[in-house]
Amino acid sequence: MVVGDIAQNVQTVIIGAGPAGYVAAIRAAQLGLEVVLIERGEVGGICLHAGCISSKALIQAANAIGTLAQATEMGVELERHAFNMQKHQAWKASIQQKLTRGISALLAANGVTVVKGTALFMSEDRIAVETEQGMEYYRFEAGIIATGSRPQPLPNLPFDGLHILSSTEALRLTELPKRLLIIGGDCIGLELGTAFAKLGTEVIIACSESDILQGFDHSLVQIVKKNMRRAGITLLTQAEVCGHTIEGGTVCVTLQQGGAEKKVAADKVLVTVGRRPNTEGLDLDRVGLSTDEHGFLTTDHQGRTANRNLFAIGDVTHGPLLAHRASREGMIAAEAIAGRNSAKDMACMPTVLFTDPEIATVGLTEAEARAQGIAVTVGQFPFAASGRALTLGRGAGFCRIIAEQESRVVLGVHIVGAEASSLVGEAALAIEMGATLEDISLTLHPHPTLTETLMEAAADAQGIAIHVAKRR
Amino acid sequence: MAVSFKLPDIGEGIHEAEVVRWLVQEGDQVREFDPLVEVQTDKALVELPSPLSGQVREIKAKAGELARVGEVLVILGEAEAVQEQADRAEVISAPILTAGRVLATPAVRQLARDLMIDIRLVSGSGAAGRVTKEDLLAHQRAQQEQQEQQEQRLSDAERAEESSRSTAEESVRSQALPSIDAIAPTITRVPLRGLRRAIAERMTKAAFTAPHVTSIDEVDMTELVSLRRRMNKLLEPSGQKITYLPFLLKALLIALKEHPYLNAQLDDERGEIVLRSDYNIGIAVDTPDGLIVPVLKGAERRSLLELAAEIGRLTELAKRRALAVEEMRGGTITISNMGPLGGLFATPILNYPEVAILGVHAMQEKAVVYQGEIAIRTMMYLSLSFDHRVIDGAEAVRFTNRIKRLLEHPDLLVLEMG
Repeated sequence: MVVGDIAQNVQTVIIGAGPAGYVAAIRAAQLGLEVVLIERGEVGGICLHAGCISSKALIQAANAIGTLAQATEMGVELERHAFNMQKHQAWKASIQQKLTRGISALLAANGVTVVKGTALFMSEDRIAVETEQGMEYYRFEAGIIATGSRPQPLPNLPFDGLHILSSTEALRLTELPKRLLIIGGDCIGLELGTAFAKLGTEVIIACSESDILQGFDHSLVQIVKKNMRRAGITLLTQAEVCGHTIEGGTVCVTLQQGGAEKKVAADKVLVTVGRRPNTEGLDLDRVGLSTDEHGFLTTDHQGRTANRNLFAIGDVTHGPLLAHRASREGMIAAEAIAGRNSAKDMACMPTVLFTDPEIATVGLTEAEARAQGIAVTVGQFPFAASGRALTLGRGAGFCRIIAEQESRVVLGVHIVGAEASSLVGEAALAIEMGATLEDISLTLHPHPTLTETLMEAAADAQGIAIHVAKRR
Repeated sequence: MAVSFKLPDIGEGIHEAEVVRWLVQEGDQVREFDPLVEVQTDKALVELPSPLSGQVREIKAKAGELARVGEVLVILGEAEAVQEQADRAEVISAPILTAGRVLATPAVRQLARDLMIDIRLVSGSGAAGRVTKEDLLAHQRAQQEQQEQQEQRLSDAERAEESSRSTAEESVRSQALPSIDAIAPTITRVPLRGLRRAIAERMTKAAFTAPHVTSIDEVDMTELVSLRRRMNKLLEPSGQKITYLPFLLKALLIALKEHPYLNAQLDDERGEIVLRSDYNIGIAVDTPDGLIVPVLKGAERRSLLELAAEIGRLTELAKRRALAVEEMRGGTITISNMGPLGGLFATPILNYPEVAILGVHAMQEKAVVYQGEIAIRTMMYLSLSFDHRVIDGAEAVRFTNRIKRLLEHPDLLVLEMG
């Protein structure tokens, strides 16, 4: 590797090796492009190291404890169980290591050059990377910005890494907090809050809105809230943070709720009030780019920015902050650079929440469809009527399907229940393919599995479900 | 009952044909064996007859489209079913949107982008108005046709405009010379169709597949000219005549037997050179529609007179586009006789997959050095283009030398020819 200010020529540089960047790098290499992938941390990004994968590990551990409680009911007699956070962290690290090595191997196998360092643009076609060995310079033909996002702090409750934590730090705790206050009612706070509560932490969730999970169908949220209560989580809505004090290892947060002040003490506070894109520090003005007031970049249907040679993908762009969106955008941008006609024209984007039970939605809700003036027909099937759900001890929840009334084309599927995250994949395929209710209800789904719930919901929408009595 | 009439397998090797002209319209009554459509294969124009008596319900392959063997060209059937067909067509004529989107699978949407088609403008024939791959391809064909018609109309209009303009200018012209700027240049766009397209495709294939070299030589034809004159004198009472081409064919055959690599093909896939024991000589014929190459077979077993007659027959059939498919296949080498047209010499393009083509040019009287003195002799150029992958320059020159020697010494030619 040349060290010094001699720029190496490269066809494509990609900044950030998260699920957007590393996928873009592999696809670009598959299409014959020469790729330099710049990452300041480790390949895999937040998703792998402080997000999706890490939180799922914690949630899995928490669910294991929940399952143990159920096991007693099933006739399994247990003497004792306990949770060891340090062991858990070691287990999680081993998973992360495996996945990181896997990504590194894939990048190497595709001939992608990975450069560890922090990137900043020098000019329209030059980028500098500050590495441990010094500065490296590259002259590129095309670039992809995939620098991701980071937790958004609250001005009056800034992260200190010790008491006031971001999700990244909360996932790295080596000891279970006794009392955890979570600020924010979105999915990250709920997922972690539920997990910690199940592991034995006393959890209080405070959100400024009238309810948690804004934007999700009320009926889905109700089932999650019921389980939150069962796990002992206290929920404070319409609560604004006014200030805080830290004394003797305890944080005391003052909340304004309905005109009254409320003080909540906890040994840790987790702030999950959104994420902000990592677009500062790249010197974007040198490539003729500017972000909006929140730091996001605007792109076209292929991910191209105002600068034709530069693309932006994943969390730095407008849209839901989802790893699967980021990865697809990575593929599309790489294909566009290689001269292909790829475009972001997905019919739907599934969203999954690893709450208890899981929520997974894809496509339009009933309300959204009606707001668009579409006459819809709706079918629903309760998990309580699924033999498999009951034997799993997970009878809570339902699967709902929304279709256009006349054509019966599926417009949306909304699931709350066990393994909803896995079940929604089939629904996404159905929507992409333009499937009708019949297409789903006439497809054999294996018994006894949770997948039958979608088949039954589709049948219910036609008024012919076998395992639910006709409504009305 | 409806019957789909598919493009039949017309002959060995042909897997697609272009629909040139429909001889019937939708709704027409046809009888069995009535000609339905003209299709252009590799190089032949073929008329396809109706397999049954009935009505033409729906023409699936429009004029100008390429159809593959087995593809439905037309749907034939009884009269009463026609109405239902028309009704159905109406139902699917408008694109259907579901929640503001066209229904189509991700793969079809990608194909639409690749074909530069706005999928919202495509009528979907699938369930609930899904746009299928077939719909996209049909849309593309329709678009192309429309564009061609527009261009045709445009060029027609331009021509009409031009002619009216020139009439108007007649009177002015008597007073002053027309300004060059007064007449706008017209661009006529002629669709690449039928034989022209076949020629274009084959020439492109030949030019970009086989690295060609052309070797040119000059032949003293004086002796052959006088031999032919004597022969034609003898033939006079019978009304027959002999041209130069039979002599050339005979000389070519002798040289080919000694140089088998010029009567060959390169099988790229298997990495083999295929040497042929049969000598099938293609003869390039200039027709009003374009170049056609009938193939003369068994030349070694025919007399000069028989060759003359066969060449005459094939040329005539080619000009009328009446050659049978078999009369155009299996060539192993081609002769292109440019003599009657003029020109000094040329660099012919191979009739791929053949590896050699011999260009024969006009004879001219020239002052040349002959037996140590300047003499007036009848000279002719020969251009041999060859596939350098199979044949080296030295071999090609030896081959041409042999032909040259035979033509310059017709006694030798008569002695050796089979």
